[in-house]
Amino acid sequence: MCAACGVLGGGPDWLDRPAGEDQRGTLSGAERQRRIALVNLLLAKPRLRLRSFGPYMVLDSPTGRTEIVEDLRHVWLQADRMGSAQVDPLDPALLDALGDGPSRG
Amino acid sequence: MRSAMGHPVADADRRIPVVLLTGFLGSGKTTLLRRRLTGKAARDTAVVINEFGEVSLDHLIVGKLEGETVVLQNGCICCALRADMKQTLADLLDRSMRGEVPRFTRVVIETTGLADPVPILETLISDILLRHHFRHAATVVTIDAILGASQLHRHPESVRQLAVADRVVLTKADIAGKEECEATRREVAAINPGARIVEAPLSERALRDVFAHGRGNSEDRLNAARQWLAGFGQDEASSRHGRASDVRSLSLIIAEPLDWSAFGVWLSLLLHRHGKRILRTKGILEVSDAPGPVVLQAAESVIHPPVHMDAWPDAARGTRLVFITRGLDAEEIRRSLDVFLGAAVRLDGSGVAAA
Repeated sequence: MCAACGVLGGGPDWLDRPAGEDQRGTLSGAERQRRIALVNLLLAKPRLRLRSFGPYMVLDSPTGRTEIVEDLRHVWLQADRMGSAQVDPLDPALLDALGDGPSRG
Repeated sequence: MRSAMGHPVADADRRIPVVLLTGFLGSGKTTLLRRRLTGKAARDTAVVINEFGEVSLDHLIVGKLEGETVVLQNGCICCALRADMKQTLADLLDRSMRGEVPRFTRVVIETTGLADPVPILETLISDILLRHHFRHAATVVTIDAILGASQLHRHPESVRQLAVADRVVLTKADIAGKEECEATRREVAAINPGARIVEAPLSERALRDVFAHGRGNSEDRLNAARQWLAGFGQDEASSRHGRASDVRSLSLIIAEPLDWSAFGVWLSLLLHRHGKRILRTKGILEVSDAPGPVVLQAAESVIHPPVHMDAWPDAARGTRLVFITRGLDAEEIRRSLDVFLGAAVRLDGSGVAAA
């Protein structure tokens, strides 16, 4: 499956399926956008941003660099390469910001 | 009901089940393996072993084939592990299809005493060819009832093996004293709550159960889930640790249905960043919008395809999740998940995601 099939690409990435759906299920547009927004909550610290671009998913850096990403695993790998700091869900500063701040999209 | 790989499963998963057998040096793994190889139940079984010399099969061999493969009197096929696990299995399959080795319906893979089973699991789960033909049925670990507790304390390899095990065989339990056995059991349960523990010497039935692979159908999954939940217990969420003092198991109970997207995004990043220190993740999840529970497992950063079940194993609902960690404060994981799920709720409330 190609990147057009879901937010976070196709292939064996299980997160690309809706809950309760089989491997052939595809995400609705709204759910796709929601997942992008969830990823972006975690990418806020290195100021990276995931977005859809036509049929693709791309990751933007604050320096203007843009990379196509295929699935969720690829997002994190690219984020490590592109960001100024590694994204870490256990980072207390990130958790403080997520816990207190308004939602970000 | 569909299998984790999306194949319609009227009843059984038709792929060949694979049981991994692992265990520290001197833990009795080879003895258990020899018993498994030499019984009637070994017919139709292909066994991948480290070294023929270790298992002393010479007197049982009735045929020697190319590629360090032998056939035993009982029909069991044994081959030595080559450098590449994938190549070993693919070769076995290929030769079986061509009639060069007897047909086999199940596989046992023995890992070396110092081996980390995770790369083998990853190969089985991720390789396109292998996952089409094989399914991982269970990981069995042998632990010496006398020495096991101190080995777990001193050897990270043994902890890693135990963390990913589904079934634990406490060997030499007949020699160990009752207190020693209990101490080792407690240590095992502290590191891997939910793993089924049996004591050797095993009866024939127990031996079959240890290597049982089921049919990969919904009934098997329900039974496996029930067994795991019995080990998890119905207590409040807890954090336990054994004498291997930097190993923790964190058990979480989440009463509200889980936001699958938020949980999945969070877990994929957690395991990407900290996979080496999160030896095992296992859970039965109540997921919003899913008709039944979802069974999730990961060994380090290797995530098994989640399995959607049609029915709950018992009356209890909610998510039960276990993380086995090494060198990581397991409470940080709890906080992180809480915070992220809360942020996901606020995201929905703000309408940003829908924009």
